[in-house]
Amino acid sequence: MSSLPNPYLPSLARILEVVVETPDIKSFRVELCDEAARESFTFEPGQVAQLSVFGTGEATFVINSPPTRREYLQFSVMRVGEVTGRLHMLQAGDKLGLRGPLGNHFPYQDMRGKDVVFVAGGIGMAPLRTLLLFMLDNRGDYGRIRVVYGARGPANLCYRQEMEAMRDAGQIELILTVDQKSPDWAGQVGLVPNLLMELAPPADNCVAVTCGPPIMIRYTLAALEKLGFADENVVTTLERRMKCGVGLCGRCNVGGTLICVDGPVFTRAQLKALPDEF
Amino acid sequence: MSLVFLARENLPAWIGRLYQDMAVFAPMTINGVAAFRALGQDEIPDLSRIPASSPKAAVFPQTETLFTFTSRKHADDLSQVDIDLSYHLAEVPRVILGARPCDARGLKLMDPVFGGKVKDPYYLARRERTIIVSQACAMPDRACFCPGTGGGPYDPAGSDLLLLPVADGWLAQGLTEAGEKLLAQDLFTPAGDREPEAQSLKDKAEAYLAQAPDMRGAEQAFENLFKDEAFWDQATAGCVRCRICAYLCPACTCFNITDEESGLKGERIRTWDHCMSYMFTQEASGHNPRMQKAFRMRNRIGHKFCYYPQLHGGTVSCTGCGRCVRACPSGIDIRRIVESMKRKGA
Ligand SMILES: Cc1cc2nc3c(=O)[nH]c(=O)nc-3n(C[C@H](O)[C@H](O)[C@H](O)COP(=O)(O)OP(=O)(O)OC[C@H]3O[C@@H](n4cnc5c(N)ncnc54)[C@H](O)[C@@H]3O)c2cc1C
Repeated sequence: MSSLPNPYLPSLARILEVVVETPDIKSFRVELCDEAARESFTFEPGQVAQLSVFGTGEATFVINSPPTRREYLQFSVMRVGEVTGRLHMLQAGDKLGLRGPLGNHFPYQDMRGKDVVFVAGGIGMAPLRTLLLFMLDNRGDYGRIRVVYGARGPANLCYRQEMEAMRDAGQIELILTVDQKSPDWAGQVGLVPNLLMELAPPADNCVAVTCGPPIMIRYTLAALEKLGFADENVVTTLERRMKCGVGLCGRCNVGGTLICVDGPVFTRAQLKALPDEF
Repeated sequence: MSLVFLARENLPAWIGRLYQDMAVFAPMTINGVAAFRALGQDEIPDLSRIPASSPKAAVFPQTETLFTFTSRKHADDLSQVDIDLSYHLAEVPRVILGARPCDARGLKLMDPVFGGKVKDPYYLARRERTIIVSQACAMPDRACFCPGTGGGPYDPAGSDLLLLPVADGWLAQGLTEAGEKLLAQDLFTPAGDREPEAQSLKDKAEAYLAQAPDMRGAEQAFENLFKDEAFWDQATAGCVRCRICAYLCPACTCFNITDEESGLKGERIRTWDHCMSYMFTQEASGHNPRMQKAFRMRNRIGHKFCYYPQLHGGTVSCTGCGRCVRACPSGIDIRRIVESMKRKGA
């Protein structure tokens, strides 16, 4: 074999625990099987990995545990198709393949000393969770932290207990919302961008971080613009179908930019420089 | 370097010698179609016409195994499974014989993709072991437009050895050390006074292609027309998404990765992909950033004539080989698209 590293070859990882988050989202807490690889594995908040179920294939997921917590790597997987369907059948003790970390990360250095507002929809909370926990682990570096998070219904809110505990501990301000009224829901009802407009966080010395379905991102970016957020203070993480994850397969381009290596994290200033093809 | 002569009747003997030391990829005509493939012993290639396919499969096969995986269950605890992964890289040296100058340039266009910041070990293992023997194009056809992309029918760029056709054989011009080494002394004779004959064929071929439209410098026009949906609709109208343009293209490199499994063993496989497919960008949420065929064509054209050149010093990701033009069942002509793009987007 040649001395070149093989970017397609996954490392083996073991599932330590599976957490059922919602009817279609499970979180997998995994560790690399090889101890030396485990010790030397480092990543930044927002980076992703490719998980393999051998025989079915690979898919991209954000590492949603923060680098400050090293007991395991967590991935939250929404069941939508083949690989995610097979992942949902795995249990603690099962093995999978892991390639990563891949991609760029949230510019958390630039956010120090600022207020932060997280705006998320559905599984889009997964990448933001990494950054949120990272900030809580470095709480003194950041100002007010607000979270606006919405899902279809109460049962579809991911990490709900965890976030409510953060709120109760006074670490964050939290607005949870669902699309439609239901008997088991006493909280907010309405679409995330609308609630963001109602909350109207002052744009002054504040960064907004958003992820969710493409349509939600679009309206959220527009709302933030109305609220006066400067382009470089709006950060989003994009999903784009990708295969190799390392800049070779050609799937995930937006113009000459590859989401897998140049992203997935972009500021709105960077997005505006790209062809309008999202 | 001086030219040497290879008589047509010595071609089989020469190939026989090459075959002893390396895999030989050359065009073979089967059922009337000349396409590159690995020659078997004593097979003689067809160098008489422009091959329908490019030789890119010699370094970037249409299907290849990235690695194999094998699961092993523990005898005493069947819930415990170990997984072994293994892969291997090409070791056999290879020669592409009868590439056209456009094909040699195609490989040069793929090199920065697979050998950039992240290196593709599979491609590079083959590429490092590949020698390119090109045949200059004495008879370009109406679909050819290599000069419009920065090449030419006798362009030596990217070749190790260039064969210049003459009536009864070829004049061989070694361009690299690896190429010169292939010139078996007893089969090649001094070129004598044959050079003017080769030169006059070259002049004719170049004159024939003098009208090729310039496909370079379209970046700004592309950006200006990006939002002109009518333009892209018209450019794409006939497309039936058959994929042939990408498969035949010497510069297209997009690939898919899939798994195949049987029992406890399986393989992760890479295959050529195609950006005109709806599924290429279909996302799980139902969202598709290139919902219409026209948007996919826009990306295809943009990649070749705007995005790639912007990243690679103005070089377009097209060699003017004309294969997509010849093969398109709907008569889509990439020259017309770029020409009208440059005109309308000026
Ligand atoms: C940077 C990035 C981070 C991501 N992070 C997460 C995460 O943390 N949690 C999570 O649940 N999902 C995440 N995704 C989406 C996830 O990768 C896809 O849902 C997954 O690849 C679908 O695989 P599948 O085999 O189950 O689907 P398939 O059976 O292949 O297809 C099912 C559907 O999903 C579409 N699809 C396939 N691949 C992708 C893809 N890469 N992106 C979008 N749609 C796709 C198909 O076109 C089809 O509509 C992320 C995607 C990207 C690009």
